[in-house]
Amino acid sequence: MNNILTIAKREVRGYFSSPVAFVFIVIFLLLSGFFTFMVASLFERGEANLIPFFAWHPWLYLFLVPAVGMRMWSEERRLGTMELLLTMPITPWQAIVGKFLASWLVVAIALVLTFPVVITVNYLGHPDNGVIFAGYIGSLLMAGAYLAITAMTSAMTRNQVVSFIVSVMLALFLILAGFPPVTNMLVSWAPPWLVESVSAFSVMTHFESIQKGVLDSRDILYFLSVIGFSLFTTGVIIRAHRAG
Amino acid sequence: MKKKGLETSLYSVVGVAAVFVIIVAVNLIAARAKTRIDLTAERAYTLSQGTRNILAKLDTPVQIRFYASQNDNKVPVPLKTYTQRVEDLLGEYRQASKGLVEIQKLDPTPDSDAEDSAKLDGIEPQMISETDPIYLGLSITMLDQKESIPFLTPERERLLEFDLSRAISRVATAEKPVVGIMSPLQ
Repeated sequence: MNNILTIAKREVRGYFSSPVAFVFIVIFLLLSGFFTFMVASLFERGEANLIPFFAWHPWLYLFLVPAVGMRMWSEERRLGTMELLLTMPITPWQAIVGKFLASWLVVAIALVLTFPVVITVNYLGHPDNGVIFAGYIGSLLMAGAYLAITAMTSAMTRNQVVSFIVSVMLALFLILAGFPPVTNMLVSWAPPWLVESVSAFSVMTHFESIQKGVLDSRDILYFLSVIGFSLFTTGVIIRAHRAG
Repeated sequence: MKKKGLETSLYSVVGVAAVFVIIVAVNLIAARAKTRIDLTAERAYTLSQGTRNILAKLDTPVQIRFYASQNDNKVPVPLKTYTQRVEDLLGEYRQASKGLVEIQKLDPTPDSDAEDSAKLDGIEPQMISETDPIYLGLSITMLDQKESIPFLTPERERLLEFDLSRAISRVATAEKPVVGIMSPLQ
C-alpha cells in the first residue's frame, strides 16, 4: 500500500511539474463552463439542476482524459526508465495502480474545481444536491474508466500519439455501443441477445442511469469492471514486454 | 528461448480473454441481485411508505402482466430505457410484497397469444410508424378484479409508483366502502 502511495505521489509531482496537469485542468474548466452556460444555456433553461453540465462530460473526457493518461507508460518506455522502475522493490501491479491513481487524482482535482457551478445553482434555486452528488460520482467513475483504457493503450506503444488515438477510438466505441447507428448495424445480422449485450457495454447507459440520482450496483460494477479489466490487461502487456 | 516467448504471449492473450469472460459473467450475475442507493431528495426511486402499507395488507396473490414490445429496431431508445426502469420498479414491488405480487412479462408480437391477451386486458398500443404498434402497458388482477394501465408514458414516470399502487389497492379492496350523506333536505 505504501508503495502504491509512493508511486502515486511521484507521478502527481511529475504531472504538476510539467504543463500537462495545469493545461488539462484549465482547458477542462473552460470548455465545461462554455458548454454548460453558452451551448446548453443553463441560465435560460430556468431549471435548478446540473443536467446541462454533466451531459458534456462523456465528450469532454473523450478527448481530454486520454491526453492526461497517454504519457503514463509511453513515457517510461520512451525514456527507457521502464526497466529501472520495474527493478525497484515493488510489484508491477503496485506500479500500475499507483500511476493510475495519480492520473485519476489529476482528473478528480479538475472535477472538484467545478464547484462554482454547484454554488451558482444553489444560489439561484433549490437543486436536488443528492442528484448532483450522484452526478459527480458518475462522472468520476467514467473518467476512471477512460483513464484505465488509456493506461492500457499507453503500455502498448512508446509513441504517445498512437496511444492517444487508440484510446480515443476505444472510448468512442464504448460510448457509441448504445447508440442507434451501431445497434442498427448489428440488428440486421446479430441475434437479439448479442445486440442487447453490446448496448449493455455502453458507457452512456450506465452514466445516464447514475445521473438520475440512483447509485445502482450494476452501474458501479460496470465502471469498476472496465477499470479492472483495462488495468489487468495493462499488467499483461507490461509483463509481456518484460519477458520479450 | 523464442518458443518460450511465443508461449508466454499466447498464455497472456488467453489470460486476457479469460478475464474478460469472467468479468462479463460477474456483471451478468450481479444484474440479478441489484442494490440501489437513492440519493434524490424526494426519494423518487425507492418505494414510499404508502406503497409498502398497501403491499403489507395484501393476503392474496396479485398478478401483474407487463406488456412490453421487445422489437429492438422499432422501439425508440427512450421507451426502451423507460421499459427497463418500469421493470426495475416492478421488481421492487415484488420484493417488497414478499412474493405476493407476481410479475409476468409478455411481448405482444403481432398474431401472438400475448397480443390477444393484451387486447383483452385493454392495453392500447402506440403506433410509432404506420405499421408497428408498440405496447407498453400493464394489467393488474387479483381473483376476479382487474385494473389496467393502457400505456405507460415516460412523462408520467414520477407518478408511476402512484399509478401502480392505486391499481393494486383497487383490485385488493373487494368491497368499496359506502359513504353516506345526511342532509336536511327531503
